[in-house]
Formats: sequence, structure tokens, C-alpha cells
Amino acid sequence: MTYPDHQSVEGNINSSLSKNIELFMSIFCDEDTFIVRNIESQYNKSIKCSVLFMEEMVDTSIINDNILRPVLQNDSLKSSGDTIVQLQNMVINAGHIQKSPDINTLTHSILKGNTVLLLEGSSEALIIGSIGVKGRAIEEPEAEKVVRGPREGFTEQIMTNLSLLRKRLETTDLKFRFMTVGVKSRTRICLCYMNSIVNPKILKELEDRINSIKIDSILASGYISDLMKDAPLSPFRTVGSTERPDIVVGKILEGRIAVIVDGTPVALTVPYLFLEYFQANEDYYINFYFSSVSRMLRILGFILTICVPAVYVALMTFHQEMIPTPLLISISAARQGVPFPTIVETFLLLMVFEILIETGTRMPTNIGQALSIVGALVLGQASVEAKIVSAPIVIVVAISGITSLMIPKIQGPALILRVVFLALSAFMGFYGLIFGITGAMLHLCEIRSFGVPYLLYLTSMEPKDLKDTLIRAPLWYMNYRPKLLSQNNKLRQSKGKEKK
Amino acid sequence: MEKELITQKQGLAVMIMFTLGSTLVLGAGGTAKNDVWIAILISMLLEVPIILICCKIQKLYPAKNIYEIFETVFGKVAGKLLSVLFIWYSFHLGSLVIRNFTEFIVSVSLPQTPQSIVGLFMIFLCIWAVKAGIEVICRWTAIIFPITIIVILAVTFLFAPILNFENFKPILFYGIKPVIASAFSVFAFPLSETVIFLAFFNQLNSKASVYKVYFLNLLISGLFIVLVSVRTLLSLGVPNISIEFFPTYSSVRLVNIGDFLERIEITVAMVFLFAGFIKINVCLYSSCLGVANLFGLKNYRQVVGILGLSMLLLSVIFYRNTSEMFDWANNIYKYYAFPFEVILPVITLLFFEIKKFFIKRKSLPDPAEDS
Amino acid sequence: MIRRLLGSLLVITVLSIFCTGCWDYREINLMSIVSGAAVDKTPDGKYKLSIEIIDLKGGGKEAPVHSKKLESYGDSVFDAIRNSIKISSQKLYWGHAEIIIISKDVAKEGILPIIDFLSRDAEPRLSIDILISNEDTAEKILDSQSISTEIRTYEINKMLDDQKKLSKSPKVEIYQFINALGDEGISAVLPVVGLTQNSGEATSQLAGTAVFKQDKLQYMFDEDDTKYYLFVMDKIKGGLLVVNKTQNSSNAGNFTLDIDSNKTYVKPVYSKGKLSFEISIKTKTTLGEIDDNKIKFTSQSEIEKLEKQAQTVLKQNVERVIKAVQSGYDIDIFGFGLKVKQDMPELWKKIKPDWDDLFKNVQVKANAEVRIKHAGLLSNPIMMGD
Repeated sequence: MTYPDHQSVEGNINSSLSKNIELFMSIFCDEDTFIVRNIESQYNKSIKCSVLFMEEMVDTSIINDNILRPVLQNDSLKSSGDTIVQLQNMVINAGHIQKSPDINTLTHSILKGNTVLLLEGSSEALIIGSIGVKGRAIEEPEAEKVVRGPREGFTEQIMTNLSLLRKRLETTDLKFRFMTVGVKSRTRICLCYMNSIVNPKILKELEDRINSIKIDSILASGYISDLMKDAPLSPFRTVGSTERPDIVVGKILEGRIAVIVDGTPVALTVPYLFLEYFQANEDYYINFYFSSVSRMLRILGFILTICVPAVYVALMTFHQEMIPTPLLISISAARQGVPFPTIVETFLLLMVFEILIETGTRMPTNIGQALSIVGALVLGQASVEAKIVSAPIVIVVAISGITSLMIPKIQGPALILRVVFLALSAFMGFYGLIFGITGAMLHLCEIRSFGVPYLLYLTSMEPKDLKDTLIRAPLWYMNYRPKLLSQNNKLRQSKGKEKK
Repeated sequence: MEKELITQKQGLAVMIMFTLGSTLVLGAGGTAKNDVWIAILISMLLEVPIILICCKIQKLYPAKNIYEIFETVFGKVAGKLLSVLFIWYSFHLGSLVIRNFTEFIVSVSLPQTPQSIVGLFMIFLCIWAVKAGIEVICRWTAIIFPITIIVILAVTFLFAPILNFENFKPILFYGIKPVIASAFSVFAFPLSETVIFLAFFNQLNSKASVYKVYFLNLLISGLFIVLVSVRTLLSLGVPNISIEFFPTYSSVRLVNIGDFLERIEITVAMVFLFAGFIKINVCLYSSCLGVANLFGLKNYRQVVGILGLSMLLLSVIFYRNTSEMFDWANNIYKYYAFPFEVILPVITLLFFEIKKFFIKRKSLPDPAEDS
Repeated sequence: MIRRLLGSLLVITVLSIFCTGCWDYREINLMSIVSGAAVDKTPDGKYKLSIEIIDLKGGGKEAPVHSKKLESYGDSVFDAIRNSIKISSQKLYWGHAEIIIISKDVAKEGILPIIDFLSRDAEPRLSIDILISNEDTAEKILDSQSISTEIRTYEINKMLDDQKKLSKSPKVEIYQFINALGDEGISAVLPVVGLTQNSGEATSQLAGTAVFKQDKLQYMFDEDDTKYYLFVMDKIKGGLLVVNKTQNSSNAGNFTLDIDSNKTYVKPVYSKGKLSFEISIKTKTTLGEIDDNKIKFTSQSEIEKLEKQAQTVLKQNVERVIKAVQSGYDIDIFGFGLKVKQDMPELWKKIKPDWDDLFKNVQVKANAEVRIKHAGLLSNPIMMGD
């Protein structure tokens, strides 16, 4: 990494304990939680060591029981020979222990919550695992609720998260590969994939992209996804995200790669396809008829949310002949006396709706009722009564709004498409809308996620590719993994005759 | 990822959409009156030899597009000359299609909107698509194609109550002559226009068969054109068809199922537009490849914008009014297109065979092998 | 990528700024929705259009929607329509017009200009219905009292749609009229609308068929004859067949059949240089009403007797109507010529020039087959014990 880190000190520690302590005191100067504990063995006074750690990062019981006590009370330590190796192998009974001379490594391991043990006369130090950072317990994620299925969600600790994955995939084929990103934050991120299923090209591409990230800190996985995604200007996401380990495992088993970032309960998965917007985890846990229907409803919801206001405006201002006569008369009567043109009215109300949503998102739940009263009654009812807007437009915006909440992830792109379609249809009616849809589809066809076409499976014209797209075929029918993502190890389950 | 090529199914879908393209708007073989379906079937037969020639040419040089084939077969200078002709054909066809569609949109629903603005939107999308590449066009087609087919079939079912089968009769009342004339016009537009695909069918993937694509297209789009023409004939009747500019569209205006499923013509217009987009895309792509080859450009994308906009310009200035456009489409186009659609491929193949014959006599290696 | 996106955004914004709000954008509440119109001619030869528009002022939640009448004059139909702006600020919107009523006088001079405007303009629908008024002006029809809705023309349209239960008036949409105009061997007809009294107020009623030679009105015939005309044209979807016993004393009493379905075949026969037509009518009916209490419906022969009686009535009436049309005028409204053209194209080429004369004398034989499928809920007539 070429990004300069001014605090880093290059080089190795020397064999003088006091000098080393001085060195570390200078590195951690003005740092009140940095503790240096000097100890000597009760039985062999010549063995002097110092234990260095950050108070807030460690589990003190590990330090007391597993480091200090054994060193102090051990009677077999000899000053001759390689004391540091003896300490490492025979004395300290902590799980994670490692030797290193490098100041930089030692510094960072202290920062992580490990304990560094310096020994007089040794030019190497021991890094002893004593991380005791407190975090949240495993809870069900609020944003991705499920009725039938596991309730566990990721937490902020990377190791907890990895354990959630490993316990679901008890195989050596599941690989966790660590990388560090962020010059200041030195955030650990972990690539998780199935070695025999993953497409090596995608893995290579992902590594290259992560390696090329040069930023001071990664506060959440969103940073990573923003910095590495394809089509950065597209409103559509090309990197998936989820809080649920079962989803991640499912994606890993399809050949995707999960990126777990320390400090974020949201795991990223790549490549991400457009269809994944419409796939919910529960689809696979319930009867395939119902999940197919609800998947199609989600797609319908997406189409409705982007098209309904545009269709309404196109109908009302360009293609009046398409409205059934009684409806035309009643809408026309409802619009009598409304001062704004239809298009302005629609824009205004859509904006009000977005404001309501934005207000609701970051608001304490107990004010919610007040908001819904103001939103529904004051804005809806009263503005219609006062003839500021017409009643049909309230219905249209409500349909568009409700359907946009069906898939929370796609709200952003849906908002943009909705507005663009609206503008186009105010300009050329349905033809404008058709041009807009064409453009949106071209865009979706054009973008790729890590080299994989975004609309994979939808555009191959092979019926067998459609079994997990618009519908969710029964599990016994999906015997093969999706193509392209997983190039080897195609068979998912063996059932009946296996064909090539 | 490895370079994706056009799969057989995608190629077929693009070709079907291309063939249906402006045919859905303008109708095919209207001069045959109630024998239009016979005319279309005859023209499908006429089309077979042309397809055989096209496929043969592509098979001879599977890795080359038509412009490169011209240069290989005829040599540099003559090849470039023929390339210019072919470029003109696809360029001009593209602008005709743009004009058809802008004329259609403006006539049926946006009478006040300037045609050039509608055209600008269309060509803007086409430039975008062609710049994105043939794979993107193919993927896009793969989504649009099922929608198009479903809409055409569904609308046909809705026609059931207003079909009057008496309109078929009398068969061949005016003799076979007008039918043959009309078959010839269907042959020129749209069936033989598929010659343009030679410009990029070297990008079909190795599993795909050019023969299969061409013949399936002939069969499927031929039948769809028959279906739509017959549907229009049976619902509107001959007198109405002969007075309407856009009979297919007008016939859909009649559909009325139980007073709620009516006025569905916009769905049809949508399908028309989708097919038209693909047709313009193919024409634009073909002419861009040609120009890039002509001037030895590395990337055809450099000329997409300028060619697209000139296509639009040509479409605006080419006709003075709707009647002139229809006069051209119905009466002149078949003669105009004949050299490009028939003579060009035929002489290419002939010249190749003659060359092969002479070279063989001198016992030199077959040119097809070292290409 | 960025440049392309920005470029496209620029194009879209610039276009939108320049173009929004103009061209074809129009608000529905700023237009007058036309529900129908009546065409008359003033003594000085100008077209007078009485246009019924939907009045939205009082409309909405409580009150039913009313209609208003707009009168406008012009040298051509289109001119008259445009001239309406002189008296009403709002542009007329024809997309929902259902009915055009044309007065007798205009129809006699030819209705081509009206048909042409309606089918040339993109707004009016191809399925708009055209009627001929048999009052002295078509406007009177619009002035009459409406019964089921407040909008006069929509009610007439509904009446036409419901003809499938009555079959006493043809329903001719504009494209069908154009077809009949354009085809050889058939003349166009249109439904007739007139006035009648209902609870002391004038209201409109459908009153038979108007016959055209090309686009000019020739004559009209009444609604009962229309029914038999529709039988020949195979356009019967329903309606009643009333059979009276007057013809023959051995017959059963008066009874009424409800037509369930009907199929008519018209077959031209050419033998020994003579052209004739065979019409076979196959009708399935339900017994609706009978005033004879001697008939036993449980017996097949009794039913057959009724059927035979109905067949005779139907056959006689159809032949009567055809004869009347043949002898009265030389206008082939039944499309016999078209039938010849379709089934015997070679013969048609020969006889086409003098078809009008031929039609007058051509032999037509009708054959009816009436089946009574149901008899309602009663198995026997109501008994009358003395």
C-alpha cells in the first residue's frame, strides 16, 4: 500500500527490554489505556518480561489466568536456551500465540486487543491472543425478517460472523481468506467461498479490486461495495448485501463470494444479479407454489411502482381514449377545480410521499402514529377535500408508494426510474414511457457484475435457466448449480439419473 | 469473462424481430387483397434460394462479415465498392424504418409533436444500444422477444369475436397475377431484408447454425406475418384495409371484449416499437461495421453517433409526406431493394465459384481454407 | 461512461425543458368530452352540428353527470366542429363519442363527408355507431327525454348494444358501413332512430332500417321487417318470434318463442343458366308464452306441431321481406351478390354488370327449421277447470 501512514515505525525490536518498552511507550504516547506490566518469574529472576496491552480491548481474565500466572509461577523455566520458545510452547496457555520481531505487526496486534509479551534478551516478542472486545449478541436482523427459517443475524464481530457461516458448512471446502483494508482503520475483511465451486476468475477480480482500494478507513461494508462495484454510476446495485448467514451460505453454495467486513453486520456477496432483488430467503423455505407467486408479485410490484404514475399521466394527458368512459367521466369530474396540471400534481404528491418515507425511516417508533395521522389524514384527505389535488392521484401515488415498499432494497433505483418515466410520459405519452422502458432495459442488459451479465438467466432464452428466476422451481428440480457462476462442480444434489 | 457470442436462439430472436419490425406497422402484401396469405406463402417459397445463397456465403467464410468477404472475393477495390453499396442499403433501410415509425407515432397519437423529436429519441436509444454492442442488443431482444410473441398471440385471441371468415372468399378472384406481384413485394420487404445479417453473423457462436437461424426465421416470421395479415383481413375487411394507412393498428382498435377489454391498441404499438427498435439497431450496427471496415477503423463505435444522427436526418428529409412514404414502400421499394437483396449475394457467390474454378485449374489451394 | 450518462441527462433535460407542456399534452378537464352528435343541414346548405357534451360542472360525488348540447354551423362537417370553439372555450374531444345521428335530408344527399371525417381523424373510434333519424331533424333526437341515463347518446348506444336481445334494429359500426360501401354485391344499411311518446314526453326509439345505395339514403323499413332482414343476414343473436294462429284454424293458439341461437345459410344455386338462392334458417328457441291450454308439452308430437307452425311463420315472413325489397327497389341489401362473388367468382364476373336487374327477379327460397329446446318451468299449460 502506498498510502502513507505517518505513525508506523519500520524495523524490528532489539533485545533490550527497557529499550523496547521505551519504544512502545513512544509509539503509544499520550495513550492512557496502554498498559505495560513488568513481571519476573518467581523461580528464575533472570527472566524478565513485559506484558503490553490495551486495557479496553482485552479480556483481562485471559491475561491474568493464561499469561501472568503461568509466567510468574512456572518453575521449570531456564534462562539458558531459547526462553521465548519455551514460553511460547510450554508456559503460556492461551490458544492463539505467535512470534514476531516486527514492530509494526506488534503495534497492530496490540491495537487489535492482543497482548504482546516482550522478553529481556530476546529480539522477538510473543503475540498472545487475548481479544476481549464486547459486542452485540446474535439477534434476528430487523430489516430481513423471516417467518419460517433461521433467525440468526450477523453481528459486528467478524469472528462471530464467520462462526455462523462455518457452523452451517462443515467442510474444508469453505475457505476464509483475510485481507486488510483501510490505512487507518486496518479493517479486516474476509472473503468466504467454496473452493471447488467458485469461479477463479471472479475471485481473482474481486481480490484485485479490494487490493486496489486505498482509503483511510472502512466504517461499514457499504464502503467496500461502493469502492469495488461495477457500473458505479448506475442506480442499480451490483454488489449484494445481507444480514443473514443462511442467505450468505446459499449464495456461497451457488458459487458466489461473500465479503464479510469487520465492524459491520452486513455481508456483501458478489456477483450480484438483477434477479436477486426479487429473491427472498424465505422463498426456499416454503412451498414452491407460494414462493413462485410471491416472487412474481414482487416483480409485478416493481413494475407497478415504476410505471403507475407514468401510466396515469400518459392516460390522463395523452391517451384519454383508452380510459373506459365512466371512469373518464368520474376522473374528469374529480379534476374539476384542481389548479395544477396533472403532471405537476403527480410530481408534488410523489415528492410528499418520499418525504414521508424519509421522515419515517429515521424517526423514533413512538412518533410513528403522529406521522401516519399527519401523512394520511392531513395530506391525503384534506388536500383532496380542499381541491388542491384530485382524489385519483392520491390513489395512484399510494399504489406506487406501497409497491415500492414491497422490496425495500430496490427503492432507490425505483425512485429514479419512476421520476424519469414520469417525465418522459408527460412529454410523449405512452411512447415516451416505452422509450424510457427501452432505455432502462438497455441499461440493465449493458451492466455487469464482476464480469457476469446483470440479467443472467433472463437473456439466454433457455427455459431451463428460468427455474430460479420468475418462478422458484421445487428444490428437487434444481439439481444443478447456476451456470457461469460456478464452472466446475455443477451437481447440487444427486437424484435419479445424473446427466452431463 | 470470455467473449460472449450470439447464441443461436438469440440470433433467431433478433432476426424474427427484425423481420416483423416495420411489417407489423405497414402491413405486408396489401395489394393482394384477400389473397394476402397466399402471397406471403409464395414469397416464403421465393425466399428459400436467397437464404441458401446467404448461408452458403457465410459458411464459406465463417469468421468474416460480408464486408470482409467482399474484399476477399473481389479484391480490395471492387470489394470496397460493393461494401459501399451494402452500407448504403443498410443505412438507408434504417432511415426508412425510422421514418415509418415516426410517421406511425405521429399519425396515430401525437399529431402535434414534430417527427424529428420522436425520431431523435428513437435514434438516441439505438445509438446507445449499438455502442453497447451486439451482445447487449441480443440480450435485450431476448427479453423483448417473448413479450412480443405473447402480445401478438394474446391479441389474436381477443380478435376471435370480430373475425369474419367470409372475408377469405373469393379466393384468387382477380387471378394469380396481383398475388404474384404482391408476393414479390413481400419478398423484398421484409423477407429478403435479412441479407443485412451477413454483416455480423460471423459473430454467431460455434454451436449455432446459420442455416437453422435463417430457415427458422423464414418459417416463424413468415407464419406470424400470415397470422397478423389474416387477422387484419378477417376483422377489418378488404375495403377498410385498402383505405387505411396502418391497417394492423386500426384492426386492433376494433377489439372490444365485454366493454372493459377494449382500446388495447397501445400494447400493439408497444410491440411495434420494440420490433422497430431492433430493426433500426441491426441496420445501424451493420452500416457502422461496414464504415469501420471501409476506413480501416479499429472500433466501429467511433462512427455510431455520427451515422445514427445522419440516419435520422435522412429519414426526415427523404419523404415530403405520408403518402410519398407509402408510395415508396409499396411501389418502388421492391425494385430498389432487388439489387441489394438478390444481385449482390448472387454475384458474390458466382464470383467465388468462378474464382475457385480457375484457381483449381491452376491447382492452387482453396481460398476458403486459408481464410 | 460518465460522459455518456451526463450527455444523455443533458439531452433529456434540454428536451424536456423545451418541450414539456406543449404539443400533445392536454388535460382532460380542459376538454369537452363529446358523447355523440347529430348532423343536420340548414336551408342555406350549411352543416348544423348538434353536439352532446358531458357536463362535468355539477358532476362528481353526489349528482349524476348531465349532458349539454352545443350547436355549431359550418361549411363542412369539420368546419362545423371547429366552429364550436366560437361558442365554447373548450376543445372538443371525440375519443369517447359513441353515436352519430344523421338526418334524413343529409343522408339523402350522401353521408360520405361525415364517414370520411370520422374515419380519417385519429380521435373518433372505428366502432362508432351511425344512425339515421326519421324525424325531420336529427337534433330532435338529442332533445328527447332520456330514461336510463342522463346522457342521450350513450343511452341510444346502449339500446343498440342490447339489440341482441331484441333483434329489431341492425347495429352498424362505421367500419362495417365502409365495408358494405366498398364491397361489390351488397348495399349498406343503417339503423333508424325516431321519436315516440313515453309518459307524455318524447323519447327516442329505434325504428327499423335505412337502406342506402352507395352513400345515399333510399328508403326505410320498419322494425318488424328488420328482424326478418337480420334473419337473412345471420345476425340474429336473440329476440322473440311471435306466432299468431290467424293463418290456420287447425293451429294451436298464439305463442311466443324466445330465440336462443340462430344460424342462417344463404346458398346461391346456379342451374340451367338460372341463378337462385336457398336460405336455410336453423333456430333454437325456448317457449316463452302461450295462450292455448290444450297443448301437452310432454308429448313430442305436440311440440313438433308448434315447431312446424313457427317454421311456417318464419319462412313466410322472410320470403315476404325479401320479395318486398326485390320488388320495391333494386337494392341488394342482403348481400346476395357478394355471396355469388364469394362462392361462384366466375359467375359473378359475368353477371356483375347487370346484377341490379338480376336481383329484382332472382328466385329466393327460404327454409326454416325451428326447434323448441325448452319450455320454461311449466311442463303443461295452465289448466282452466270450468
